[in-house]
Amino acid sequence: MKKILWSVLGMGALMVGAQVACMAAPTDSQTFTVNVPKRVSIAAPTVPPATETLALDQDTNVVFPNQLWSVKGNVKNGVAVTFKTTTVFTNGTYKRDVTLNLSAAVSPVGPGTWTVGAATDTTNYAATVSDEEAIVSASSDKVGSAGFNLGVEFVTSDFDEVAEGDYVTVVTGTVTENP
Amino acid sequence: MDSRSNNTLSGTLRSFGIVGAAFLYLFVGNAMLSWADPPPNLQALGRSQTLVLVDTSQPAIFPEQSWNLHAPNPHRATVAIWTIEPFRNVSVPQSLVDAQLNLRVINRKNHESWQVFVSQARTDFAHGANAARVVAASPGGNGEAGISVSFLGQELPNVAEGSYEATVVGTITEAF
Repeated sequence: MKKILWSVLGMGALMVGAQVACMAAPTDSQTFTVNVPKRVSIAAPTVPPATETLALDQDTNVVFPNQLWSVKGNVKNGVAVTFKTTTVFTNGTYKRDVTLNLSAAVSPVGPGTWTVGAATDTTNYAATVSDEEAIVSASSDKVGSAGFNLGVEFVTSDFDEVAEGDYVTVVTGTVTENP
Repeated sequence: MDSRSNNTLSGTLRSFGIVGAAFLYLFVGNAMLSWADPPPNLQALGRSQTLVLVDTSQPAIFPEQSWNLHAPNPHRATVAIWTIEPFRNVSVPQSLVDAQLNLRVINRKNHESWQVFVSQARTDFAHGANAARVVAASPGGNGEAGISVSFLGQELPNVAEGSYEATVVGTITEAF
């Protein structure tokens, strides 16, 4: 009987003790908020403008080394990136077509998945409806950053039809937030 | 029921009795000691804080926030604990950024009162550390603590845009 009484007393005290321990201690709180702005960017290669030479009697395209472009976007739905030439290779009034090739350069960083949409495109300035714009593109679906290799080719099939001189084209990279 | 079972039951009941009596003694003793003293209390003096992340290469550190500490009972140690969980994107709750707390004592009643025991702690959600706690304690007396909160976004290659929130919860209690 004595043991039972002690046990009942003990259990009761245990419950009281547990309640005391669980009783809400005095608290206060303060909230901290960080606003992270949208940040979408594209960076062209840091190397000087690429220059290549068409060899004597070369009847094939002049292929520039891949150019590494960096793209970032911390927006929830990812970004769309395009690389395009607004003109073909131009040397005064002389023109040569340009081909763009796009491929992923390094493993992307972040949760976004990157997809190359249009991987290659070639201008055709001599067509009935002149096409002097080559466009390649890629996109992501979430936050992240990626590097792309952009290949540029000076289209040549016959050395003898290429006037001497310097031919120049400019590639512009543009990145926009996905809706 | 054999004698061995009886002994086990008897031992268990005796254990409950001893532990229970200990709780009862401490509870009653606690009540007696605390009779004349109000409970401890703490209070955040600042309002909610907001900042805009400008430099993603450095931790974003909020201005230090003051907390008042009241420990009226000189007979027992009073412990204050501040806790924070990782910053969470308000619109994308699975998007987290680690948080860090820094604690210092700004003012105290005397040299023996409020002391910092854990001055810095951080979360590391990628490795399961989802709470950071800093701790100060005192044998009684009022004081003022300074809490600094850091947003550790520089550790991530990309921090998704949006608002991230974290709440510092301060708790004060007398040691049993």
